[in-house]
Amino acid sequence: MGKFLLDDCYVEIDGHDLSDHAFNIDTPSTRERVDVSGFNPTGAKEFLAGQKEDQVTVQFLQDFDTGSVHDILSSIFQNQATVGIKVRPTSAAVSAQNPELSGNVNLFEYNGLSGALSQRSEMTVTFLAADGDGLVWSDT
Amino acid sequence: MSRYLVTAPHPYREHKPGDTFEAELDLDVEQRAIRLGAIRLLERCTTGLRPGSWQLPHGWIASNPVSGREPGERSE
Repeated sequence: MGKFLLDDCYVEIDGHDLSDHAFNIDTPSTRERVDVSGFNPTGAKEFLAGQKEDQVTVQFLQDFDTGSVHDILSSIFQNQATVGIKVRPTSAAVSAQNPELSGNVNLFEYNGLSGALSQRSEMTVTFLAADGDGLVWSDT
Repeated sequence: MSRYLVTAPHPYREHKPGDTFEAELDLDVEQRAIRLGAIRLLERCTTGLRPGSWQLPHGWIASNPVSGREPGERSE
């Protein structure tokens, strides 16, 4: 694939393709940093990698149309639903050059309306992995 | 397996608006999508054979005397 511009990112939430309303995405995975330091002559700390937490943060242009961003996301939040998420660098099919991050997620916060005078209505949501499978990158 | 029509203005599970697709959706996923107007259930497809919708090949019973039962007949 080589270098590319993030122009055609694919964002699917609970089956709904919301790519055309998303404009910013972040997919950090972190591991707990467990301090296992003991007495030692160098004074250096020692750590082990602990449990993993996967999340996807997406910024959307808010849309209150029926079946659009607010309808979908607020429904997930209100119903405490566990839903599937899929994210790819481009909307093309999954491949080694266009891997897909997918898994089941929950939404623990929802802020439907926030913004300033005459600015476009944007909102940010963070999806957290809902089960032990976490979010996984796949190229098939 | 069921058959659905995409009624949302955006693609649903990579099926374009207006497309029909077959899938085995979890009930809560299906209900959420229908409630949001993303899909419409066209047909609930259930596996199984309707009585009288099938028959054995001609001469099959004669060449398989162990069973000796008619199509659809239950065993004792």
